[in-house]
Amino acid sequence: MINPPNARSLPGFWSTTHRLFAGCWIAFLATQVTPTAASPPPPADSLATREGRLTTYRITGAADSIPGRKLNRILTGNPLQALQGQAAGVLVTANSGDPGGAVSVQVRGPGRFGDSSPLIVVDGMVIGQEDNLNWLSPNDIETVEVLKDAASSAVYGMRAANGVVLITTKRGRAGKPRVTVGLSAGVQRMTRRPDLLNTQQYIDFINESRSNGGLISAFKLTNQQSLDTLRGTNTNWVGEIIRPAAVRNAYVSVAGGNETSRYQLSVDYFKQQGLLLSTDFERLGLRLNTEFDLTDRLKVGEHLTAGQSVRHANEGMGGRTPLEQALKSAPYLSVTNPRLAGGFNGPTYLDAGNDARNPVGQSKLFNDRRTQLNLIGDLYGEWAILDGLTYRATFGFDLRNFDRLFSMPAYNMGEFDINPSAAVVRAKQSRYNLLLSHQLTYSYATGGHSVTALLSGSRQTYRTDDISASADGLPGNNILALTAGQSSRNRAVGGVYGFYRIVSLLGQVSYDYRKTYFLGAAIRRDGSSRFGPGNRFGTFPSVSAAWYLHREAFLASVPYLTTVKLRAGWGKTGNDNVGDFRYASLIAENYNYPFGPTNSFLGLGALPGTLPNPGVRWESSAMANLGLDLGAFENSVRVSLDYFRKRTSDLLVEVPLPSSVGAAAPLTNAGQVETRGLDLSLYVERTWNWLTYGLSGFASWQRNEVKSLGERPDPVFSGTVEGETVTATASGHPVGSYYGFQVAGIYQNRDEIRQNPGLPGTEPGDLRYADLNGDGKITDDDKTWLGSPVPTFYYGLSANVSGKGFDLAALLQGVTGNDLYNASAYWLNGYLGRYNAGTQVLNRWTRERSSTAQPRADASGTNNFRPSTRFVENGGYLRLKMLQLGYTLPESLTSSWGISRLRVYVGGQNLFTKTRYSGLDPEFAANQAIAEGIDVSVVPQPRTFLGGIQLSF
Amino acid sequence: MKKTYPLVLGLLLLAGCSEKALEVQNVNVLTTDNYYKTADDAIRAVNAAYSTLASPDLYSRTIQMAQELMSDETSATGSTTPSLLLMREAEADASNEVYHAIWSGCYQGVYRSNLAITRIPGVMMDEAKKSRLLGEAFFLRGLYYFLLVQHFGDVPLILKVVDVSNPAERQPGRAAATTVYESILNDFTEAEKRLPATYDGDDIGRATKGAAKGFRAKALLYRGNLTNSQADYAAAARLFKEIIDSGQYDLVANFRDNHTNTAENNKESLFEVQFSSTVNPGAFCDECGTGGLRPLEMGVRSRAYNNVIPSEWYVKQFEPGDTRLLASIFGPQGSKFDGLDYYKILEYKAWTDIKPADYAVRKYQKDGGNEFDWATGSDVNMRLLRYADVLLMYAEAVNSAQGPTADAYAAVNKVRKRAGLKDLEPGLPKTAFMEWIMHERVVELGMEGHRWHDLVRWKQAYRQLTEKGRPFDEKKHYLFPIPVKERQLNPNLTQNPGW
Repeated sequence: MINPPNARSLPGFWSTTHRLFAGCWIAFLATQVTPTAASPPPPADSLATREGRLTTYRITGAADSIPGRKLNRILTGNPLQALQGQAAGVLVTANSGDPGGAVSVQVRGPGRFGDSSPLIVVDGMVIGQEDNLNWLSPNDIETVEVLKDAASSAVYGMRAANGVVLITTKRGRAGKPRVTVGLSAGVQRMTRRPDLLNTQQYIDFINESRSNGGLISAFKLTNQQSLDTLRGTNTNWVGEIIRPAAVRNAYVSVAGGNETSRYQLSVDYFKQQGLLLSTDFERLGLRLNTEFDLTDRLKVGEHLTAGQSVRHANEGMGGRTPLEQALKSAPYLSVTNPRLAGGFNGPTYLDAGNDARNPVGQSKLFNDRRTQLNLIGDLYGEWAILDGLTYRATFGFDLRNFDRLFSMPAYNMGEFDINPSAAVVRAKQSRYNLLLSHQLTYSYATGGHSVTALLSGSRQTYRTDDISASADGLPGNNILALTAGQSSRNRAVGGVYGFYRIVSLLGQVSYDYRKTYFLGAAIRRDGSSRFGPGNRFGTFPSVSAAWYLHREAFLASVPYLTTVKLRAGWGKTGNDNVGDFRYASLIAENYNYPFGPTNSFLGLGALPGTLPNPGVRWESSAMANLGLDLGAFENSVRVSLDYFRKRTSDLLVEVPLPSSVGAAAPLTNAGQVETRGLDLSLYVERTWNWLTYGLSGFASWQRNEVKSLGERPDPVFSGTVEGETVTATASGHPVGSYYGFQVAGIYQNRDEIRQNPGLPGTEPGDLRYADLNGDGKITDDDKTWLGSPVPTFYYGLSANVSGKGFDLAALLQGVTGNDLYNASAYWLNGYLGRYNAGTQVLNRWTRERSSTAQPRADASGTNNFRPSTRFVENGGYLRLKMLQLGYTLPESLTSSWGISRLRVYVGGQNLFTKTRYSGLDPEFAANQAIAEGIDVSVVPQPRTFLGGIQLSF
Repeated sequence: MKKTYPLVLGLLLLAGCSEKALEVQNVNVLTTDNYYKTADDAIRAVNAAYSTLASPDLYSRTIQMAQELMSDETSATGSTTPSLLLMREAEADASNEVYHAIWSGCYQGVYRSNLAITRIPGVMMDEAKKSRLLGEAFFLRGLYYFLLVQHFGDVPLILKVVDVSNPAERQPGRAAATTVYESILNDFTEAEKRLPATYDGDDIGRATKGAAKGFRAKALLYRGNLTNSQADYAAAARLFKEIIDSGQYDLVANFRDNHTNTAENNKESLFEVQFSSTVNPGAFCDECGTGGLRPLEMGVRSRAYNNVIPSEWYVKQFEPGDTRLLASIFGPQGSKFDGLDYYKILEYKAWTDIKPADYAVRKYQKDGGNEFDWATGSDVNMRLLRYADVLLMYAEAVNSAQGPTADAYAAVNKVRKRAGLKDLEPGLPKTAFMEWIMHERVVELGMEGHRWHDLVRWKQAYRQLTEKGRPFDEKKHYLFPIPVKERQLNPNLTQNPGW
């Protein structure tokens, strides 16, 4: 996949290198470099169809294409993660470092209040939104295209408002079978570890917290004899649950074909352990793409993925992650305790209120296995009815089976975490997603005019069928059957059906004159079953144009310039992924009331607890895009600049009703969000002597702002930390901004508190919050806007150099201008004064040590842990995402072994991160724009060292 | 070949245009279109109207806590919820969440009752049972409005399910308190006509004829206080007398039986808010018809939240020998908890170590050590109306209408007798007799949610609270404010004076 070394000479290169650093980039290129003919393909400039799509978007729209070879340099279970740092306007953030976990993709800003994931299309099959793509191997990907502007994506109508990711998988070409084998393995480690208190520091901290909080001293932590025992143990809880973890991948593919048939068959095995105990992800997948020309005019083909993945998750209990428990656990407690059922230790009522669960015990005793079986792909037939007129039918399918087994044995881990009997939870989901589409394409060209038109109709139906069951009281710890034994009790069952259908009509026209003037227009009409009668259909138009200026006479004589193109587009898209049956008046159950002589009879109650909104509609988005593409030196140097403005309206918002109505208000289409921005991309791929070097990068600036919440008077408060909301969404601010108090220092004495009263219960050593409204009190009215999780700028830069068989590639990626809410820091700063904390509390305020920013220890108040600037941190980071050094053995040597290409490489991922964020990792996401960036101690991204071998014959 | 074009085009259009393909039958959840058809549906509609009573806004927690903390029978502690504390200290403004919780809780109940009253007539079912269910719904609506008018005075009077698309319905103005009382009395009358005297088996706990009559009488007494109407006092007295004469109700021998989970819905009880911690689904949730939070909130220190405790004044009200003292509070010598002398629970060495701040409420608390099931809440019912209250209100109504008659004396003495106290000295003047009724209401009904409303209707709150050092603005605090949020959403609402 690496371009062959080119032998052209480039004299004077080294002598001019310094000019690079002097910023004379263009001058350098213009004066010194002779372009090469073997440069990568220029942008497509012919109207064509691919997988039955008009590829107008490649010319007139804002769409990025990322070749698969760039993606599979990243060793990950999820191809979406490999998109990180690859395309302007596409912000990719892994939700956590959990293997096989979800990845959040935002195309041009959060355009919603909830999940803003783009629509995913794999070959001919529309997979849907919010799909965790971990069933697809990055090795099978030929290209990923991201449709960013509405002119490109509007052909996907009511599902395209968050952008579209088009994935094309590899296909065979005529020729003898070509076998490719790839093997790689690596080891992952945690990059940063929290600095926690040791046993003695912990005891001092807890005792001081209790004394400051007016609590009686804890016997266990003050009695000399007991202290002597405690000091004998110093458990590093984080170290106990975090481990170095292995990752490996094996891939074999065979591709080939003849004049009338082509095939590509591959098998991929991927296994990744997680840094956290008891987490891993394992996938075995088979991919088969074939195509047959039955006659000159008729061809049929298919794409198919068949695979299974097994993921072990370890999410803790009660919404508290194992990592959080590890931060909180008392260091004087040992991990194991052979006298307790299950063998693990845990705190008791004597542990001064520390009820953190034993994270090692929970990790090892719980088993949470999630299996997914899938069969995903499409069959198609294409019939060239006449010259220029083609009919294509596609039948796409996405069939999946999810199976979750969660079990826990009987155990006793101290007084707060006891499971008296073995329990098991099963959950199964079947999903059927079927697509049928018909298309007619017509192309006509005469005298420099060329027209392509497409007419398409499709129907897609999703059905889901969930069933779940649980029981406890199983007769033994190894018994997993729900029906086992007489003693099984508390059996519960659940189940729900889902049905969703979208029917569509699409008309699309592309026109060009002399390959210089391009026009595109499309109109799509979608009907979605999610809405009520009269509100099901929406129409989504788009228009776009491009002008290749370099084909005009006035630019023809400009030296070096290969391409100058202006683009403009506008379109409307929608999002119907807003929940089912919102238009109907649903009867909710569980409004129960007990009757009977001993209140033992549950009188079931039911009513429509939320009023219906019969007029609920899809969310609609309008986007305009202006672009400029420049290419020089046979397009071996390219620059693109895009300005866009995207406004999403009709976002679902709860517009509250007076309480006297008596029922909850429905969600109404009232909200509006706008994202404006600039995307800049740069691409250089050149050769000098035996050296090929390339540089590609992008920079994206964006401004996100809520424009309206309709008649809703107050912000939408959402993300909560320890019961308090920390994010607010309101007009004039980015979606999900942080909202709270401003810290103005620490009260040194009672006089200060008298002069500037704080929250009730404030004592010297507590934080002083700014009284913004000057009413002499600290109330919710003093809260203000503290920052936003939406980056204002993000970028990616990849570089590669190769020659003499060696190749070196690197990817830098980063975001800036965003903030994170460090909820993990609540624990590290001694929230509640009864758990372990970070060493920063050693610097806590006392009367003697008053010049500090660290407030006092306090086991009864939470005044220092209100939503405030204390926990809002700069979330920007710059990361060396990938570095890889490879060596391809000379073919003269390998061909004697029958191998045409043999490459070995070593590399790493997340090798280096520069950030001011104090938490474990600034990269994490929740895929929930309204409550984003709240760090709840998820597993950080690992640093990976890896090596591998690729060979083909 | 030519024939295929229309076919292909036809296929395209077919796939794209049929709205019928988008009709989805909801197989997961019932909708109002296929509901309110059967007797079961009707019962569920009424049960849902009951369930609001047990919600955290109302008798599971907030309304109770507000009533207790506004009265002089309790003291706050260091752990009292700030919003309740601000309310008690007269520092709250109309944005305080307590006012909003009570307001919205009551109107939630009104909505549900209205839904039942609107929908049940169309259900095909046994007519007698239908009438009874409607009676329950009328009773509940009357009760919710009675709470609203006591707390807020003039309130919007909504007697149907609101059509939110109509601004006039969505944003109603306030009706005069007297108009609201008129509606309350109508609802209770309607309920009384339809409800049975008693229930059996799994229907025990539903509203009875006696409950409707008792609350109608109570509403008349309250309206009498409001408008100083002798006719209302007389009418109230007449109704209370009917209850007494019916012989259906009597005092239970053991006073404590009014406050435990063992003798609920007994002969002294006219209406209770039902709580349970054992019925399926078992786990505590807002309105699953399960446990109450009040006993947790008002529990013994270190064994529950210790957010509200009895006031010193309240403890001093008990005459020597009043057997109700130890049944009402933990603390005085002789009280037991978890089988131990109470002082030991607090890890003291002797009774003398106990200070007034160590006292705790015993009513609605269980005496067992680990009774507080934090996961499910408490299963002790709240007695909203019991016979002792009927007797005392009867005496009061009679006294207000005609002075201390023999019947009035008999009623008060009956209550005192159970407490082991002497009869009242005969021949008291009207005001002195009233003083005794006021006193008797404190020691008999203390911390059962009555005192604050008594102080309000007697116009005694200013004197009683300021005497005890509590701030109280006579021009303002007799009524709760209309919640700020509600006025933002409904500009037609005026505010109560002073707020």
